[in-house]
Amino acid sequence: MFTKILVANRGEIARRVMNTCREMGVATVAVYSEADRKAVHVLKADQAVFLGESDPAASYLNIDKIIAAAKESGAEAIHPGYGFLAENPLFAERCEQEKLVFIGPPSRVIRELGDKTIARRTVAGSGVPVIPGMNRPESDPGTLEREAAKIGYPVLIKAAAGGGGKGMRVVTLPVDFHEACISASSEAKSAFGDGSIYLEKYLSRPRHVEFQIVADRHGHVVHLFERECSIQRRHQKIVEETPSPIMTPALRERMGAAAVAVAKASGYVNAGTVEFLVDQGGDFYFLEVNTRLQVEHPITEMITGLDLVRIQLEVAAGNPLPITQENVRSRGHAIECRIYAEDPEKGFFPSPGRIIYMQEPSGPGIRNDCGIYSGFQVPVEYDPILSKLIACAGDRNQAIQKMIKALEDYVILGVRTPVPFLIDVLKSEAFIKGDTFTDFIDTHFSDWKPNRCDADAACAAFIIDELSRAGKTRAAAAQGSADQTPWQTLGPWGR
Amino acid sequence: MEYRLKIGEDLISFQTERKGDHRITLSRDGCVLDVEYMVVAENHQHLMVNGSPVNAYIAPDGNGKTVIIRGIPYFIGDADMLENRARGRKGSQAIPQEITPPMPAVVVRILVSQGDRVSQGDKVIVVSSMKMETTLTSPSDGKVRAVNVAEGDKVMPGQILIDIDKDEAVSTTE
Repeated sequence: MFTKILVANRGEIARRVMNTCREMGVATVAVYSEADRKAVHVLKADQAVFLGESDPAASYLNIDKIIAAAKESGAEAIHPGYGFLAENPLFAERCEQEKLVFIGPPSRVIRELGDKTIARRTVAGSGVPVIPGMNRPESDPGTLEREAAKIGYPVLIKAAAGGGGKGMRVVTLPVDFHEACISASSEAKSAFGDGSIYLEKYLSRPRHVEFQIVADRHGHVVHLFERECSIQRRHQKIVEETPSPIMTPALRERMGAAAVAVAKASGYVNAGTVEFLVDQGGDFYFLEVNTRLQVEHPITEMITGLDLVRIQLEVAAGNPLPITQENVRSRGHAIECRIYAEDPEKGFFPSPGRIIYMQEPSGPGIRNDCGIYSGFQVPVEYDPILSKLIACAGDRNQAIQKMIKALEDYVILGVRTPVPFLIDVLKSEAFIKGDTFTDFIDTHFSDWKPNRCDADAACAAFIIDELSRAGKTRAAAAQGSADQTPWQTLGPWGR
Repeated sequence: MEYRLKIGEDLISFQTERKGDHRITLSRDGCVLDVEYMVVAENHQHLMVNGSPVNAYIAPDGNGKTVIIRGIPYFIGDADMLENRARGRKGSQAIPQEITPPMPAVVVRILVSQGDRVSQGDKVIVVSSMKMETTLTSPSDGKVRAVNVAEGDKVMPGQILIDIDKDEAVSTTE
């Protein structure tokens, strides 16, 4: 096992990775930028290396600086977390060249699975169903038009080099197709530097179901069940759960086997996630592979009792997987809510600021992977995730109730968070029924406002706060004039 | 004692009376709230509102306070104080007259230079906060007198990023 690992990330995920390292007796090295001088991952590390200015390009995305930090600190391996350099094949390759162990798949696998069209070809070859569509990017308008007709409308235009919704267009009518291609290609070019596009069949009201896989260097691949991530806003996940409300033992077996087949076909090593779309008819199609540990991995840990980061370290150190498909068990139901510094009443506008006061929920089955603390100045330069709140219970309804209570107990003053919005999502009939399609928020919550039933009590609290501050000021003024003892008038000891 | 409070967009008047060391009543429109309270800590009160327990968390927020109860934030201000502040300012507040970021941000792109002519609504500077880009525009026709920041600078609300000399003095009546 490694003696020292550098975590090339920040905030809650860096803290979470370092927690496992500490448990395993592995020394931790944090890296940080100007804005993160007092960040929690720096405070908790054995060693911390300053990278430079807050701009990601000068810090967390700077491959040279991170490699230098690893060498300077004597780290043997680097854990990339999620985002930043986690899926950057150049970074993984540099690590390989510098004899640093990259805790993730080989750079070749990251590169191939990172290209959506290569990934589709690899997977189609392994017999796993892919969404009907093109396997190669195309620019000739005539060819594109013929392919669209073959696939059948509605058609989805996608960027070959992209993700996150950029360069995507849905076309329902053939007459709109040509213009949509031009527009999608142009957006892709400015977002990813590559205007190549390809086509897929557009599935209406699909559910987003992904499978966690882990693979070692000895050819063993195991899936750790699914996660349903259908509550999304602008293609960003906000609520995830496992098991998926639509999963049956038979479907889980087929999709799990497909996920394992994808991993094997691509030569996957370490932890990854195979994403599928499930249509209304219950048919599933491969979407893509995420070659990293994902934000929502805690819900899988809660139902399996496994520590995924521990498994990642073991695999990276060359050890075989500590589990087999036969002895992996899932138990109960887990839900995760992502807590961002965003104001749900102002279109989820970023809400930066200093955390004045906070109180985290706790109790059996509650887990909060948190990157902030009272007094912390939330930086404006990075993704605004503050923490991930996870609730795990015996069944889905109990998990929902537990999450609602935890959200109501989660106090964060100083920035706005989506907590009130999440409470209403979890309480909604659609969520309780399990009707979680990717259009959930647009369908049920497009004009949401919180139900402010405690307005009077809030006003009482305001008034009481005024009274007690006035009381303190009077007391302090009174103290000032009377009873000045030497204990109060003597200054600090001279040093 | 009367308190006129602005809660969100609503204005509510309360008559308050002390009933004991840690007890007050609040009355409005014939509705009475009996509140026993305990100040647990600077940001935390435990209340018994008409016999029901409530944990309220409170902190200063701009020119008011935010109170969180059961996960929901309430923004409350003293209406009289807010009015005084508003009367103190000259001119209309509806149109931002200054090029200043709506929240702490980083300057991403400066789109004009000193001496440029601009029209009202022209894009002049792009700032980014938590990976979200916002474009600020010129509040009037005029000429760029000075660009006060550089790309990469961290900027705060209230800070004037670009000075623009308006073409004609538009007089605003009180």
